[in-house]
Amino acid sequence: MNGLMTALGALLLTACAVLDYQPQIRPGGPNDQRITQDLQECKELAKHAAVNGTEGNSNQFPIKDRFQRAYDNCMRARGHKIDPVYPL
Amino acid sequence: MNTKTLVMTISTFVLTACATAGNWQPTVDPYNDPNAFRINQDLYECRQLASQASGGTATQTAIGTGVGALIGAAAGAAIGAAAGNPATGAAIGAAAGGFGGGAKQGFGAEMDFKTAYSHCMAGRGHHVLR
Repeated sequence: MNGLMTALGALLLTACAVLDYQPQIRPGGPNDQRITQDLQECKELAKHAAVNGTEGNSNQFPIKDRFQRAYDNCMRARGHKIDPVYPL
Repeated sequence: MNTKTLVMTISTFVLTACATAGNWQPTVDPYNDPNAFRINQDLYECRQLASQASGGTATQTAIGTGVGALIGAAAGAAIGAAAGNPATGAAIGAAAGGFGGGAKQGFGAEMDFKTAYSHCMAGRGHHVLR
């Protein structure tokens, strides 16, 4: 059952516009030169976190929200200042 | 199909459905992680610890199925007796109770497992993506 849900989640992520989302980065941070690379890497990690799920009851939220939240948190943890869609 | 066979069939179904929870692992960002070289080992060790802490999804599911089936059978027998067929009532009650109990206990244990696994990795200095 979980395997089926994971496969459906991956299909959903690939098929719809969920992946069009990208955090809004405020320039002027110490890691500005890494923004493009971090956006790419965090996107992959966020996809994995959204499909795979996280601990607690976060899985009750739609996959789109989990993806965006994970994407934002990943970029923030790498030192980028972002305008959050989901506050901490 | 008698009550025992029905309960065993449902138990097997629920256990199979929940068995995949053991494959789950937190998403870890290795960027700027001074202990990145330990990620694989820590994933392994934290999995063992989280499994112990949560009591094991399969174990908890089996317990929930058994308890649920007993409660369901008793309730079903009472309802069935009122309707004139206590045996059928008990079978239906055991099936419903076993499924519900197993699912509830299994999902709860799975959530505990994921939380313990993530906290263990974070406690070892890794950045767990949330």
